[in-house]
Amino acid sequence: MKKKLVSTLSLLLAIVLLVGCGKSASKGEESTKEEESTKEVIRSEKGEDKEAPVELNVMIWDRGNAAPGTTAEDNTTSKFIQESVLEECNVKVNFVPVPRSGSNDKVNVMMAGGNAPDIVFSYSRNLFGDYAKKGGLTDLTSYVDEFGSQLKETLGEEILSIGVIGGKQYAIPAKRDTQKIRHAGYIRKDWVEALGKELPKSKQELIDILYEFKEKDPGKVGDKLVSWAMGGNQDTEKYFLNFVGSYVDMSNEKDQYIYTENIKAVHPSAKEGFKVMNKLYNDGIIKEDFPIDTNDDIYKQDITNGYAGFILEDNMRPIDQHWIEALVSNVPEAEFVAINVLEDPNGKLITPADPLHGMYIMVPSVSEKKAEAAIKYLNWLANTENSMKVMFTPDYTTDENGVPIAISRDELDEQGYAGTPNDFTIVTQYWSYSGNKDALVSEWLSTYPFLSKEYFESFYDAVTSGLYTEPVLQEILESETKYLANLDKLIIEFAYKSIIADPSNFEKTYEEEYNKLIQAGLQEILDERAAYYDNNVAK
Amino acid sequence: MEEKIKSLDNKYLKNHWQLYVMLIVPLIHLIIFKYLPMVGTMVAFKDYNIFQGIWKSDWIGFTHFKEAFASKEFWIAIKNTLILNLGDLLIGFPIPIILAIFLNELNGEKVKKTSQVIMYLPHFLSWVIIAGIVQQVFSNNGLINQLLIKLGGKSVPFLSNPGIWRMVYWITGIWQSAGYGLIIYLAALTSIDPSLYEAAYIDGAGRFRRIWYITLPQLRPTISIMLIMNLGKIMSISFDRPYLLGNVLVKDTANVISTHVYTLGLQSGRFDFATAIGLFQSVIGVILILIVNQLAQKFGEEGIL
Amino acid sequence: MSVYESKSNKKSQFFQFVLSFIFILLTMISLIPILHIIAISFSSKRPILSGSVTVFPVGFNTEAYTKVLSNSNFIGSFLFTILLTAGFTALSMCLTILAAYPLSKKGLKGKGIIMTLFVITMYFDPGIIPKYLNIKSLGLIDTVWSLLLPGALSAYNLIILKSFFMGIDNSLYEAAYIDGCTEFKALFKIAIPLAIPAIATLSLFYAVSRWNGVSDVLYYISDSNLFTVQLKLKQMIDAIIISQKEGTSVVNLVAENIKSASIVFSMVPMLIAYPFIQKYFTKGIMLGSVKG
Repeated sequence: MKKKLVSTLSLLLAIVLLVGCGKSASKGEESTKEEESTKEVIRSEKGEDKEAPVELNVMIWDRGNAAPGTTAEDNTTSKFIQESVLEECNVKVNFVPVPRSGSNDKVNVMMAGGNAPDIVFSYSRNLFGDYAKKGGLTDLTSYVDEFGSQLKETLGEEILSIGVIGGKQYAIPAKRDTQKIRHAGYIRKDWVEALGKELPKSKQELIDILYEFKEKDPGKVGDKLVSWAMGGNQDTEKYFLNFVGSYVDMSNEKDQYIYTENIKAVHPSAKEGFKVMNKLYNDGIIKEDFPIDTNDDIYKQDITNGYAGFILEDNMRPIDQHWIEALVSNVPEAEFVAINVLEDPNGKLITPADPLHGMYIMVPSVSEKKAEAAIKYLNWLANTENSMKVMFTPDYTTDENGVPIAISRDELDEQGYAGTPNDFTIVTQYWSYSGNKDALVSEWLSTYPFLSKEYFESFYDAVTSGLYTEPVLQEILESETKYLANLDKLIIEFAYKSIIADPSNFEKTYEEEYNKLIQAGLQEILDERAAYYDNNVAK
Repeated sequence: MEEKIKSLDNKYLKNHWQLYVMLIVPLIHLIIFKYLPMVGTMVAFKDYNIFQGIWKSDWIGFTHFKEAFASKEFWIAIKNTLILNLGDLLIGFPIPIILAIFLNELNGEKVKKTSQVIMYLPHFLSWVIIAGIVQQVFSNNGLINQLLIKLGGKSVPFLSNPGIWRMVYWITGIWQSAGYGLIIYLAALTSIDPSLYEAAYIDGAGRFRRIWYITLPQLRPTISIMLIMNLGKIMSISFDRPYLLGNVLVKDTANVISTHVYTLGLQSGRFDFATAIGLFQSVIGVILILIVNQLAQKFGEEGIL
Repeated sequence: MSVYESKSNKKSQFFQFVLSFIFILLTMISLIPILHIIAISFSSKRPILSGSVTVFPVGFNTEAYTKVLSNSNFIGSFLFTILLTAGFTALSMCLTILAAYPLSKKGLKGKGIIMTLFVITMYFDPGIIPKYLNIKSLGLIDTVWSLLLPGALSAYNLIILKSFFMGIDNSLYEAAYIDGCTEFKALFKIAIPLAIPAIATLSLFYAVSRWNGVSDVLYYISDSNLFTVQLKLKQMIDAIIISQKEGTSVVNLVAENIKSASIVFSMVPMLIAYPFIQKYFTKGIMLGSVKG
């Protein structure tokens, strides 16, 4: 026993020592690396009369999907960028990997530690506003004017203004691809046809069809049938927002500024929408007990097994999460098509669209010296041709619609291209063919070969009609920073509880839950937004 | 140091300066990695601006605490935290002990070893996964309700009735952690001298008498320190378990301190506010554990200090 | 086995039978969900999405595993994580033993204060920003040390080990001191050998926490060579979930698939390690060895 113990302990010691050695070795490596890089600078100074390149640290998302033998920060794509940008802008780009999930938290601690990369980004307006307000960001206004001509051209006034707070350009907002409605309806077309009807063209037609689904069971699925499937996800308002929102008259500009995104669900007129959903629920149209299904597992099973007649979803999710693929292999005759028919009280179709802007690209204030290089780099990326080379490989070829011909993942991996090149094209995802129906249909067809050309043509029409872009406030409201994250959750609770309440209890539940929202800061947000509108927009 | 050595007449502590030498490294570790960052707790009393740093941010006194205590949600969260944790303690705490004792009584080595390994596997499942399994088992169309209906019973709203949901919460907790928790008791059981059992057997003591008079007393110190440490944790609760097992229908039951802090503090970038609530929890936790430890020592237990 | 057990009567046989039955039942309750997860990791996406996978794979394929294994340097990261876990466990055990042994001595002056200091750390979590700033000011960001040191001494484990040390019979020590044993010798010759089951258990606790710990890697490391397996797996899962939201290119897998494979990855090393630890759980083995 004793011998064994001694040997175990000495093994442990050896491991500790080994780790120790590993550390000092890696330190040695680091310092030689640093020496090398300084030498490089000197060499290039001697070789040409060009100034030494500015080093720029740029954040890059790591999704753990780099090709074998490469990393998120070092691969064929990153090398292409580094070489081109060094050549054209005299900026030496280093990429700093930040794991995609938990990215905001990591950026936060790096900002607090003052060692964030020179370019950071986030989708969160809250985060961006917080940094801007607390003085953590470089004002990029003058740099954009001087070095960002391409940025201005590509993004345009409207998108750039979203990165302005209090008159200062604190972020460069990214431009998204073709604008689509945020949430789309999907309906079983084969069921509708089995009823001898056409696809619904209005809210009332849709509701009638949902009742017929339940009564006549056109798909012959028996008691598993769900006319309107919903999940109980606690992070999204997609299951109800478009429906109840369609009961709100948004023609008043002030309302447009106050009731944006999920706040629309608390507009007094949306109550009528909840009442209708409450009736649908109690009539057995909406999935029973959907709030319990917090993982959306049962919801997904209802869709893929062909039990669900209608859903409200993120615009492309049923397609790109393979639900429709699975559905068709379970029920070969199934057709699950996108519709966009929830008209507003005036009979007009105004469906909330994806915002024009994507993430906020920021330069921390401690990196102000690098702002010029940062804008030069972003300006390079703003060139659509450059970004397309990054996205589709430098020597991509296109089909007759101008869509780059897709290269298989295996081939890309073999050549060491980035797993998700979109993570490099942070400034724009709007390609030369974006907005062109034929081109997009051909792109989708090549990505999702299990669906037809006709399917995507009608899909395009559905998701690009009635687009309504919500206004973005050029100010960060105190009340929003404080209460909005909590309210996001409470609004979902308010909605679900109102929908499943007993009809006799609907008024009471609605009032109770609404008061909870008011107590949690909703009133402050509504008031501050109204004041913002009166002071900044109405003038 | 030398004086102390001289003054000691106890042989037992003759070499005790070596004991202090042993403590040097752990204490340095304690100071550097645990106490230095604790300085940051002062942001609980500040209007923390991450760009100004912890030191330069403005003092605002107890504002964050006042805000937290003023909200009704906060007190509901505390109440829920206490109820869920007490249940864990009452139901969840004894189970690993019972399992370990009976596993110890088991003669078949194969069953003994395999069941040990397998029962500890659920510990490796994250709550996201467990929540998915829970829904398949306990939802209205889930396994158990299907079985109940087949047997002619009525379906039970396991996940939407707050009271029953709590049971589900506790049971899944046991399922996830009992197998892992029992390891420590198994380790404690190894130190029992087999001759004690043999003596008891010869004296004609039955199985349960042996458990009562030999096994349990041997486990007593381990049980008491585990109990003390668990009691001290009664105010703290993980985020994942109540959040992922919960749904809006049981929100009034499942909303606990951690979920409250998450939405109100961290998601809104309000680290100062989150720290304030954390500090409140910590202080209560430390006070509790000191009291419980005192009590335990009064009852003749070693305690943890 | 010992004498008394060999003379088992019918009553005791029945008891053993019932006990075995109960434990087999409990084992099944733990095992079935795990089998379900393993089955999902080997199934194709249609049955996964339709919820038709039970405890056997449907549409058997190993795509999730090949996807994970073909990932950038996954094997390297796997080896790194194993070494990291081994190093962390060794380091943590050394520190814990060094702290627990002196604190298990009843007459040690200042013991109460030192223990209180340790206990406090169980309840005070300063939050991520102060911890990050601390690691940064120590110059440990982006080094292995940021993953080895901060969590290396858990007060919880310290208290457990301390109580095991306290359970050791004082007469053993006294005899050793009379023989002229120093405290270091006593630690190595008496305390550690007698507490091996506890040390094995706590090593397992440390190893599991390091193996599954993700958040410190996320915060302290910006060098993808130092990313652990669990962080990489988490990235892969989230990548699929997030891809739709951002309109990025999709992987031909469903998240559940890789998620399940990642659970299998996380369990395997511990499954291999456990039997070695289990060896020390045999009744009375330690006492016998010291006596003999």
